[in-house]
Amino acid sequence: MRLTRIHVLIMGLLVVVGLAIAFGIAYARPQLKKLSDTEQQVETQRGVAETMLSELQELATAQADLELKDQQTYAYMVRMPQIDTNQYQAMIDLWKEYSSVLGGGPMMARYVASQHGVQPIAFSLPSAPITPLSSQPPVILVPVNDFAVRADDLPSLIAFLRAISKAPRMASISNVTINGTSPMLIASMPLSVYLVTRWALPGPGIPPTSGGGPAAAEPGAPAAPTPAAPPPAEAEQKGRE
Amino acid sequence: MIKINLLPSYILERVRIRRVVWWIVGLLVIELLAFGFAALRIKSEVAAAEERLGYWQKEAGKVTAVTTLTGQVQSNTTPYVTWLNWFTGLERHNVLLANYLQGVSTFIYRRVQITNLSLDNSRSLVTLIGKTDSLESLSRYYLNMLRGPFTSVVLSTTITGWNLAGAPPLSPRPGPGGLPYSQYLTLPVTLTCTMAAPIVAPPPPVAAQTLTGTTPPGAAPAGAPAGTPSGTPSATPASDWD
Repeated sequence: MRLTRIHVLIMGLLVVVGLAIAFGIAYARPQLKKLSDTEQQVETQRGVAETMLSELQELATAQADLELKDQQTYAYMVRMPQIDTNQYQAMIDLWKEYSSVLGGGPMMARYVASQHGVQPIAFSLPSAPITPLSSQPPVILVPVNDFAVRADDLPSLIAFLRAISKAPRMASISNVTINGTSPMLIASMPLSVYLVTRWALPGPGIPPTSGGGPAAAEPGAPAAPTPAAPPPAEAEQKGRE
Repeated sequence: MIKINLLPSYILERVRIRRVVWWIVGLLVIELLAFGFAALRIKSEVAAAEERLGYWQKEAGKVTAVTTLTGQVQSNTTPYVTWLNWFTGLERHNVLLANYLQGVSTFIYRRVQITNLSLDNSRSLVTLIGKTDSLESLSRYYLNMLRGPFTSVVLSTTITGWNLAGAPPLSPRPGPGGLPYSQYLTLPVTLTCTMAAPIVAPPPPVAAQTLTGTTPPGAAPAGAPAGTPSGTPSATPASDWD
């Protein structure tokens, strides 16, 4: 059979169409799919990048919140004594706390006496430690099991119970026993005094140390044990009031 | 003039076939050129998209860094929040206790004199020991306390030789011979009330070391700090001690 021009035409068209299909399948389609996927990724990343403003606002809010919490915590920590990280100095710091704040001195007794219609009549502390603290306790609880006041009347006593929250040291009462009649109401209540040491909290927000170290210490890292040095008067005053 | 082609038909067909082949070759060339152009175009578009992707990925990386930093700042805030909650909870606890006592006092009948009030959180009990003047006052007192902030109220009293006459006036009788009101309070009454819930101080976020104050022989009495003990390494000179 001889080849006619119809045959040649059909074969030629088949070659042309076959080449087109081969080009489409082997090259065009994968490349177009790659282009489409890339465009989709671009849109996704762009969507993420456009949230930068809100993320920055959220960061600013978080930082402001941290600063606020730091200041609020500082306001409570200034009511805490300066207990040194050195175990021997810590023991001596507790003695000074007993003598100048909790015990026979002063600060707590003066505070109680300053409340209207109330006078302290008993304040008995456990013995001060005579051995260095074995570890660095973040919180020290001083139980005042024999604490009693005389009140003129019940409203004065109740006002005093509310005012315990504002005492020079953080304290809580659990049980209350009231005897007598006005104006000789005798109220006895076990008191729990909490001394929070500065290594209980992370670095910022801690009042200046008694050793004069920087306030912004490393988070969670107590100062290296150093020989006890006389604390600066200003820092000690700030810690005691 | 009539043209007569004397060439055989297969020769003519060959010429026509050659003409078709050239058309097809031309078509193929055009097709290949089109494919080349399309390939270049697609390649350039893919490159541009990848360049844009690189740019936006970098921008998104900055956002991720800010988000990570925000998370760190928020986690740094957590310890402060924990301690602050405890500090404020401790303050609130004392106020709650005072408010509770005030609430209890509002339910005490005025014709009852309380001589002992004991609030025991460990057993959730409020015990009131007092005296009143008559059975009417006693019942009024008891009914009042039933409306108080308690889940149960238990009354105990001892009725011995009290006056069955009506309740005396609240204020002492004026003039000579008048008895003070306290003389009429002859009916002892004890109420043991169970609190709905104990008012417990929140524990600190970390365990507290309690100073038990076990006193060794020869040490100073409670409340008075001792001097430097013997046998203890002296880290500070004696002059540090006030």
